[in-house]
Amino acid sequence: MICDNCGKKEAVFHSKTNINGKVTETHLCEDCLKKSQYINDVNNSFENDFDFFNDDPFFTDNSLLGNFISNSPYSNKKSNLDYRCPSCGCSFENFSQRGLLGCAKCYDYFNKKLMPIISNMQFGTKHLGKNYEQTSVEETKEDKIAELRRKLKLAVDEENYELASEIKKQITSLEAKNE
Amino acid sequence: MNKEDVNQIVVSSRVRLARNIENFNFPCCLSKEKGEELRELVYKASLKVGNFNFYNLKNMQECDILRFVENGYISSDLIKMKEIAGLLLSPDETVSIMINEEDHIREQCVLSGLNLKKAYDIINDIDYDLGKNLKFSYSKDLGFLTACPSNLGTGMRASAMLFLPALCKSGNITNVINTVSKLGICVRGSSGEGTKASANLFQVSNQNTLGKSEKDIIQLVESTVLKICELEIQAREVLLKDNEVGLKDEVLRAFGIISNCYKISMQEFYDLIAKIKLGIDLKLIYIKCDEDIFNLINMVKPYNLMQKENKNLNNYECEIVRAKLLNSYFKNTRV
Ligand SMILES: [Zn+2]
Ligand SMILES: [Zn+2]
Repeated sequence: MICDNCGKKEAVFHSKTNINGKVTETHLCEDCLKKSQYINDVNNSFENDFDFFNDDPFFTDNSLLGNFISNSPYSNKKSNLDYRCPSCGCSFENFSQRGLLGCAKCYDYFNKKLMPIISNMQFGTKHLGKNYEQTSVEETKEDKIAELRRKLKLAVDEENYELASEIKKQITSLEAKNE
Repeated sequence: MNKEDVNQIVVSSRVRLARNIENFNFPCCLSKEKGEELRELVYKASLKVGNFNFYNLKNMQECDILRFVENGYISSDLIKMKEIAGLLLSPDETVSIMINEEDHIREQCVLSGLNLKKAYDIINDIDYDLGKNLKFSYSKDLGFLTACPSNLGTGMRASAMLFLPALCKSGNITNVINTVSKLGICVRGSSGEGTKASANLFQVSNQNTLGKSEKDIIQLVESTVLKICELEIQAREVLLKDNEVGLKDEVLRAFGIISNCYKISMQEFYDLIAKIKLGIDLKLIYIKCDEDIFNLINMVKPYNLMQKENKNLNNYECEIVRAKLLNSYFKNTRV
């Protein structure tokens, strides 16, 4: 296979990347490979020093998902039907391979297959943390005023008096409404 | 165990929250157009939340992006998403919000010392305001929905960076790691898995995010951190009792090299700075400097050096510049 970039030399590097759902195949020769991948470039020029890029303790968050998936009863069985999440188009195999779901709806769609994995990797399967309800859609007048007062305080703290007087005007006009 | 002892060992505390926004695919499956739209949406929402500096990664110079990685504001994974990635950074640099990494939003707060509760309060306030201005993906049963099920529920990772030279030296670090992992706590060395760690630094964090409240998770991580601190302090006492002379010799030699070398790699720097820091903690050497000596770690990383020198440097040049900076930093610091 010939290099995609220079079209001259034999390609030594072959990769399939899935960027934002678009699969791209790349074939590069040794020289073009060195020039192409920016992070590789960096790694080449700082071979000794750049271990910490991959190993930075602050960012080694990703769990050992691979273990959980390969232990799950679903891992080696290829499903006869190619189910795909209707919302994002991802299959369960996509998830098994990359460890990431395609969208929030995948949790509904693949619920049965996901729950054993989730129960294996988590403390439990029921959310006990912070409740979330989005409120801004139906913000009441009081909410708006409270929000403006907060911003007013910030503006005053920052000594941005122009902004502060603008916010004051908004508060006054809101308070005057429907009264 | 007093607070001063603990803060000698706990270098920093970090709390991060993972969030996604409704009606957008997760970043791994997001088109360029939708990704750009989402970045814009988060940026606009942030204007109502606080005073952040916004960075569109696509428009940034490579050297600036890599310096941000060095400083921990962004992960190296964010670079892979460059086209659609963004960063919101608070002016004091303690809060950073990555846009379109593994999840749509990764909010984090990093504070020095053992400060998990405060870090959580800060990031929780921001999360509350962001959540009013954006519609997060959330279900009553599974909590905040994340691209990887390992972040479900609270979406929270609470972690502390610990300096554990004595436990490394005694070899007990392996036992400690095995013991706490049974409690749902994860310990990672700064050079990947296991016991090898740059500058004897380890990250201690919660393994699970679903099935416990944020408060309980913080409590679990904090109590584990305190337990590890206690073990480290005991190991330090043993170390001092067994071989004070040898230890002092090692510390002073490290000081000698770091103040006089002509070139130095990051790896050697990590080894030396760990010895010197331990020497300071154990009062084997007296050094007068205004800040924590571990602040040097980011300062001598390659892209920070390049910014300081205002030019590109290759590895060799970096080593020379690093040595120069360290020579002058430690000049006249011994008392
Ligand atoms: Zn080529
Ligand atoms: Zn989906």
